[in-house]
Amino acid sequence: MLKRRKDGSEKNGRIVIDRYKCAYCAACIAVCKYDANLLIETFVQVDDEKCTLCKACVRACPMRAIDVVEVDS
Amino acid sequence: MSYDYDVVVIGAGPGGSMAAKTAAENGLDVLLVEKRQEIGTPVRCAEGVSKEALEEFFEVEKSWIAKEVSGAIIYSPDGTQIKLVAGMAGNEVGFVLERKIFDRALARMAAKRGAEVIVKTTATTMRREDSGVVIGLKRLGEYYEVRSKLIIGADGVESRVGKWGGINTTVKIGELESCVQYLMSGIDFDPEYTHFWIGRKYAPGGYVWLFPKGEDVANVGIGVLPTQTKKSAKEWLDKFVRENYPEGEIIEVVAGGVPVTGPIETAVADNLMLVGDAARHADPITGGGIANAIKGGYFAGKVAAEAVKAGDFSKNFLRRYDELWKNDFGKNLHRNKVLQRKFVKMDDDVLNRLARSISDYDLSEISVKKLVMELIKKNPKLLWDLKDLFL
Ligand SMILES: Cc1cc2nc3c(=O)[nH]c(=O)nc-3n(C[C@H](O)[C@H](O)[C@H](O)COP(=O)(O)OP(=O)(O)OC[C@H]3O[C@@H](n4cnc5c(N)ncnc54)[C@H](O)[C@@H]3O)c2cc1C
Ligand code: SF4
Ligand code: SF4
Repeated sequence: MLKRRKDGSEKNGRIVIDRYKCAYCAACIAVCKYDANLLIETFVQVDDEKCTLCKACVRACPMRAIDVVEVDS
Repeated sequence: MSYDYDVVVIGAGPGGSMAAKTAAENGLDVLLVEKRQEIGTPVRCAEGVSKEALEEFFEVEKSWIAKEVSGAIIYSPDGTQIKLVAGMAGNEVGFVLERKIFDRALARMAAKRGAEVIVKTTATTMRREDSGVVIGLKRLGEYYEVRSKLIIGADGVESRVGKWGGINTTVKIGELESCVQYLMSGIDFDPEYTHFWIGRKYAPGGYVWLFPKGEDVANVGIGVLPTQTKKSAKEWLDKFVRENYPEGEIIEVVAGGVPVTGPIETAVADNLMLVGDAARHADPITGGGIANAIKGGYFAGKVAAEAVKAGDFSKNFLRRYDELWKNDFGKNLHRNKVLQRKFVKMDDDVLNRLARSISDYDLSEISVKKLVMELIKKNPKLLWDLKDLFL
């Protein structure tokens, strides 16, 4: 699933949240400038269309619950 | 258009409940919307607040308070201690709250004053129509809309409300304290004090805290800046706990993000005001946001009443709210942001030197300002650039 970012470069992967690690704290939501994620009670929903894989959320997560997984194109 | 409400408040944390309470007290039709099914849980907080900040607005109830403390101890990387004790011993100055109870009590106060409160309901959209706003709510899966003259965004660190109104509140990765906290039992500490450990050794870009909730129970937590370390907040906290409190049991885990952006340019737009963490009103040095959320909520509730009275919901009118918070705690936010930038750059040797310069006597006031003033007096060269802000 190759995708194109706004600047034309390609991204290959998607954000996944490990629900066993996530403490539903919303730190990842605060730093996403693309408004690509939402915290619904205890569930972080990521909109793959909006997500640019900038990884700001990965770095912000205090529980290290977020990862980028490669997706075969 | 006809309106369902004068003001809809999004988020029932301390900021939102205070805004709803104040607006209702001033005769407005208020709706307070909370997306969680239980107000106040999960807690994302170390629960420390000054006695003053609460007593300014409430008759404090015993059930809100887990523990009172009389001072604070700061530990530099080499173990040098700075003690801050207000007045005489036994003179309690700080509360460690039970926020599960406190947050609910505030929401109940708002309801008692006449605000309508709904939970498990998420605000998902907003658009302007005529001179008001239409707010989309999702309640138990069902979408519906309400019409209001004003919207107050008190939706915390994850705030969307500001963005709906065109205020860019995205927190830069270098301005978010990434936090984890354990409620620990069976550990040994002095329960009359809150405790802080500073330095890269403990928490790059932040600090470790221990806030007593009883004689052998405490919130032990950490905040780090993601730009200052590759390790996660949890990894740093686990290291601290392993080295300092290996005997303790972890009976609760809490995580969170604290915006340490310093004051934003404006917290208002047409029909819209932001309160608390949504307005990035947390203190950039301490990370504390309860006091400012309550105060901001109070100001916003007041201005909402004035706006309804005047029939003017424009950004221009609502700037009164900006003026109120800027003239009140806004200056502190600015000052402590400058301080935080400098603090983040200090290495552990510098912190040790600073701590040693004032470690031989107790400071008689528990405030960042007082502490920095003393430090500047003893280290004028090192801290010359802070002089104009603090002295
Ligand atoms: C680990 C940690 C420790 C802290 N320790 C302290 C401390 O010791 N002392 C201190 O003063 N501060 C502390 N803080 C900061 C403090 O918790 C916040 O500043 C404070 O809670 C801000 O209050 P608020 O009302 O603005 O927002 P919050 O308390 O965050 O409330 C926001 C509410 O809005 C709701 N919401 C969000 N989006 C929507 C939506 N779309 N629709 C409906 N509802 C929504 C949320 O569910 C939430 O209930 C700490 C923070 C963290 C993370
Ligand atoms: S930052 Fe991490 S722990 Fe917090 S909600 Fe996001 S994924 Fe979960
Ligand atoms: S990777 Fe970037 S765009 Fe995608 S959800 Fe995380 S912060 Fe948002």
